[in-house]
Amino acid sequence: MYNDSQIGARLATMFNLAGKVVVITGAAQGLGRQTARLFAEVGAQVVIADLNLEAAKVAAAEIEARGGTAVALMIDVADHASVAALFTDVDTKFGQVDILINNAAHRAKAEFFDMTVEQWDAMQEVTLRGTFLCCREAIRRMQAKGTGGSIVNISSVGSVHPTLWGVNAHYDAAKAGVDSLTRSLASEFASERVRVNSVLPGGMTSEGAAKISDTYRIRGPMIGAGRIPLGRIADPMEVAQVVLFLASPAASYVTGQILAADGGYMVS
Amino acid sequence: MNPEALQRLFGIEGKLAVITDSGGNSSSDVAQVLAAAGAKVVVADKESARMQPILDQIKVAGGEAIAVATDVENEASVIALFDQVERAWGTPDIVVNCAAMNNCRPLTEFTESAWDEVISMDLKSVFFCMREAIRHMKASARGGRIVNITTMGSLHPVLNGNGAYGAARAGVNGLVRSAALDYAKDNILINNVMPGAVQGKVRLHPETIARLERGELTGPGMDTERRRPLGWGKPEDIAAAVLYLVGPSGGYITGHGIVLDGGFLLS
Repeated sequence: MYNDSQIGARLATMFNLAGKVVVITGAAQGLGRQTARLFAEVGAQVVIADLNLEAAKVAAAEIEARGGTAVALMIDVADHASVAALFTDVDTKFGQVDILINNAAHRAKAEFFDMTVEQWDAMQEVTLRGTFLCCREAIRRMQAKGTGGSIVNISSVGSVHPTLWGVNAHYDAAKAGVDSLTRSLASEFASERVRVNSVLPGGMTSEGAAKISDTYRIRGPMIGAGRIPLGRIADPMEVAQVVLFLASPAASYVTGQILAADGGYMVS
Repeated sequence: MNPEALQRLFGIEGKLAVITDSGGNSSSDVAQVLAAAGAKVVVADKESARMQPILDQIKVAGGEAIAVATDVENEASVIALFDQVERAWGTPDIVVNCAAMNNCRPLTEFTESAWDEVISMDLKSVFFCMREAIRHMKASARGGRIVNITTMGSLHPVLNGNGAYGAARAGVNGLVRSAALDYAKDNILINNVMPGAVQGKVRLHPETIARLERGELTGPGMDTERRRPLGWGKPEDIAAAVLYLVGPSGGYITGHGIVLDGGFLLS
């Protein structure tokens, strides 16, 4: 039997992110916030980037209070100037970006027949274009520093397999676009040791998710009894752990992949 | 409608097609559709009694067909099939492997011999038939088309207890991709058709039939109300997909599978 310190040494080479700077968008709540907590626990310096700066400050303060390193910065991923300004701020504060987690997404549902073009466009601007803009800024810096990096895009099981009917067409299309971006960028920048992967959560008990069912009549394949073989939706921390795996040296040979954390939904 | 255009796109006039497992699974429909589209058809089954009705139906419809008794699980028998076809009618242009048997039971109850039976019927037989078909097609230097009827279950669980069958059929998918790559230069195009809920078109192991009758089969595919957006498939749906893949319109597709699942995979 190996003793605890031996086990710890091996794990540290796989998951210790000490000295790494990670930018997490949409990190003031839900999956983003849990991901920020987890990354701080394994030593990363965390940029809590969120549209809601006050909530971001609360999330950052919580990490700092536990002994971690976190800063809160405002970002509107739909606004290219805001994205550029955030990364310039990160340059000033940390001088590098090693890991980017594109978690910010437009969650608004819209009934298919009633959806306005503005609703459609807002979804694409935040979820797909925002991911593109953040990837571009981060990869520029990873290229310039020459040490590579890792990007994890938070997609959705809905990018591959429908989950809800009628209200998610714009969301599923945007997330499928994110997966395609994952593959394109992984291929193009692999030679510079930039890895890019997607994580596909299924249902989660996050704050964002709770708001949806209050407003819309939720229906579709995922709602059926028995459709999630593990029998429950995920705690966001369970998804954050998958994000950590893909971002960490443990996944140093994984790029261009989509990994679902869906409780078995896609095989049911 | 322009019959000439249809003939140019989908006609297989004068082609020679070998179809395994006549009478069971989808083979009788495939044989009749390919014959109706102009092919001469060889039906190859272990049991002669199963083949005669197919031959009769094709002949009544004005087509040409012969039967060659074949055990697709037996290497010598498959070699003999292709040698006999070569001597009688020449090199096959088209080979459609329909032979299959689904033995569906919990993996914990699968014995080694039951596992081997499934792999023999549902994977090794396809290897024998593809290898012999490719040998003859390469020798003729005229290219050819091979289509295997597998199952959507090779992509996504349909019934609980499909571990062995799903693995064997997924093995066929892997075999097809490799062989399609290797023999593209010989203009031999190899694809799968993957049916889902097409009524009565999967030959079931006797024990599986008993389980079905006892109501013991469970799984996503049994949720008929929610998981079959288009309802049941027709047997002709399989034959039509085969016809497309083996005809002039299928000339740029190789190494793929056409899923006939009525929307199951998205449900």
